[in-house]
Amino acid sequence: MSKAAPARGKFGRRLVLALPYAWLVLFFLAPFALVLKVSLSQSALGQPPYEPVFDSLDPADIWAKLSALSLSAYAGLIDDSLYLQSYLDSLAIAAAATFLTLLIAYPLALAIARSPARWRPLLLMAAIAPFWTSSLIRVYAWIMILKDEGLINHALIALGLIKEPLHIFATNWAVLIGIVYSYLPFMMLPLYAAIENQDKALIEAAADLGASASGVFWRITFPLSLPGVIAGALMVFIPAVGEFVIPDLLGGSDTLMIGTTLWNDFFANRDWPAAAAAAVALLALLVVPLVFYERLQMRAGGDRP
Amino acid sequence: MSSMMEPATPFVRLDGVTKRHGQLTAVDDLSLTLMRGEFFALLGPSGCGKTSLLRLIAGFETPDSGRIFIDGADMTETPAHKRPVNMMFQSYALFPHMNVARNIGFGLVQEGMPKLEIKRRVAEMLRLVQLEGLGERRPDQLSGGQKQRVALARALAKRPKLLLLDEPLAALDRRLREETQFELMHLQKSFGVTFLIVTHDQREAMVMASRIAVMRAGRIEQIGAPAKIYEKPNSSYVARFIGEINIFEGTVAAARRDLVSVSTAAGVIEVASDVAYALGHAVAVAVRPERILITPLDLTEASPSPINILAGEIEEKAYLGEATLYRLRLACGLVLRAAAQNAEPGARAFEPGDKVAAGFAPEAAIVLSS
Repeated sequence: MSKAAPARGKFGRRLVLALPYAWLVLFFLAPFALVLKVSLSQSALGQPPYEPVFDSLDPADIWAKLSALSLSAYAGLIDDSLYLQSYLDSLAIAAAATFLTLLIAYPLALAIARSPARWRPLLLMAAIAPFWTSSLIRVYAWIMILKDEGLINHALIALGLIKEPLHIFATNWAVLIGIVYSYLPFMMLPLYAAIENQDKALIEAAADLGASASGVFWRITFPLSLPGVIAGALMVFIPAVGEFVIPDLLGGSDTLMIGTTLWNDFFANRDWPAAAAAAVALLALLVVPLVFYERLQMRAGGDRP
Repeated sequence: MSSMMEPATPFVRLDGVTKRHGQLTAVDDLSLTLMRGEFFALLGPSGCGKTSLLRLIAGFETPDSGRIFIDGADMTETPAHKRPVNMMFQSYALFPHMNVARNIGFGLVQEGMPKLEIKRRVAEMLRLVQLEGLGERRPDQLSGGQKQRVALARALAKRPKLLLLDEPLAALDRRLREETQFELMHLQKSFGVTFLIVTHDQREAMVMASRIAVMRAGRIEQIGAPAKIYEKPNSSYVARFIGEINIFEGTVAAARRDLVSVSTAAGVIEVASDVAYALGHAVAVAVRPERILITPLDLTEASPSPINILAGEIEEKAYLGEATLYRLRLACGLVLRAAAQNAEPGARAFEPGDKVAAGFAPEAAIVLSS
């Protein structure tokens, strides 16, 4: 490289790096700061329904208001068993949904990745096609399928397998089914990429050395697809924990997911500080698996010279 | 060679094997027998079906027709993981998520060998391919030559009766390739394993193999020891594929006891032959460049036996050290390649433009039916 080029090259590189950061600051960090501020305020009757409100730029005023900030909303999270239960249920449902999507998506991804190359785009398209419809409509459709007079119960009763309809709708089971259905592509695509990328000669080499079909899968295909499994699991688990639409539409009165609890606090109870504190706590909760994943990636990458 | 001293017993037998990939017939009604303990090379240009043949023997593909016998047993339908055969892949196909020791031990674990024994065998294989101390490395931390050795050790660890090698040296640089050729030969002898190697490099096949099969379009053109294939190719295809050769197309003009006169564009060429050809039969005469002697044109007029002497002019010259290659244009327009060994210092060299005579003995040429 010549002497003049790096200056411009450097500027260009900085600009390219700066753009995503600017995006994050503008659309993630700034709103998050607002939420954080609200979470440290006190609930109040009025518009907006919290105080203090930083509406003047007088330094003395700002100082007074800063000292009025409190952690009482966070204390409320711990005191109120509703929150704790919501977090635990959210984590449990998201974990179960992640595991189920993995069980369903893996064979699908494997089958598509191993099908003739000219079929793969079509099969992938077919797997993703339903997701071109609005997710809201698809979740509503599940109500029709799951409710007491729905498709499943009609079919099972008609077949004589059950006498009384199964109560699936408005339970955590319905939420689970809805999440598994909605998030399937987010699991399948990284899995497909991870399996499709594998060198086919590795499978032949393992078979050549005496591994049966299941031996090849468990010792070669699956371990080599682990990055895809982890990526898919995170892409399902993280949004599933905070899912709002699915538990709201398919869940029942005893469904406690943090997304719905949050919504209730914001819009029904108008307790913005409590809802904001719950959102901040949720974020902190979800950062843990992400950091864990980063560490894992660093370790895998660190092996290379 | 030790394999030659043992009584040769058939070990792998292919019987009328055909394999099609869609429209393309990769292997065409091919029959072949490999002897126990021999080093056999399948040689041919890419697309000639040699790799398909190897994959059929490994069990990655099943033939459309024909049978495959290994050590007396019909293995045509046996899946790859149940065949007493191991393969070394061209890409090496090392498992990227396992270290070297686990790669080498993979087949042994599948066999259910006790852990201690696996450890001992892996250590032994590492010593054999001179990779002691690298057992903990991951494949992506190895050089190309080291990967090649791991692949070889992994394929040999199960002590297969037959080792298939798919272009095993193609990814190595020239010096390493030559070194490894001798190591492979040494390993093959000390293990007594039957080696079947696929290569497009005729030199590699000639160095290592005790027998070579030259393939073309899914069929075997000729099988034999390297020297036989080089000296007595049975077609101009084989003659051209193995080393350099000059070919004159012509017809049989006269046939005496063991001498055939072939009328070509360059004149009548006398060739020693033990096959009787009919007059007028279309044939080709083939002469290796190193069998052609170049002399200054003025000297040949005094020569006592003016047989197979073709006048021409040197067009190009390439000095290779041990030999000098010449391209000379004959009076009839044909271009002849000749190689002069530089065995003695100060040997006579010719320059482009020199008028010369190219001569060769009737025994130096061969007749090929065209």
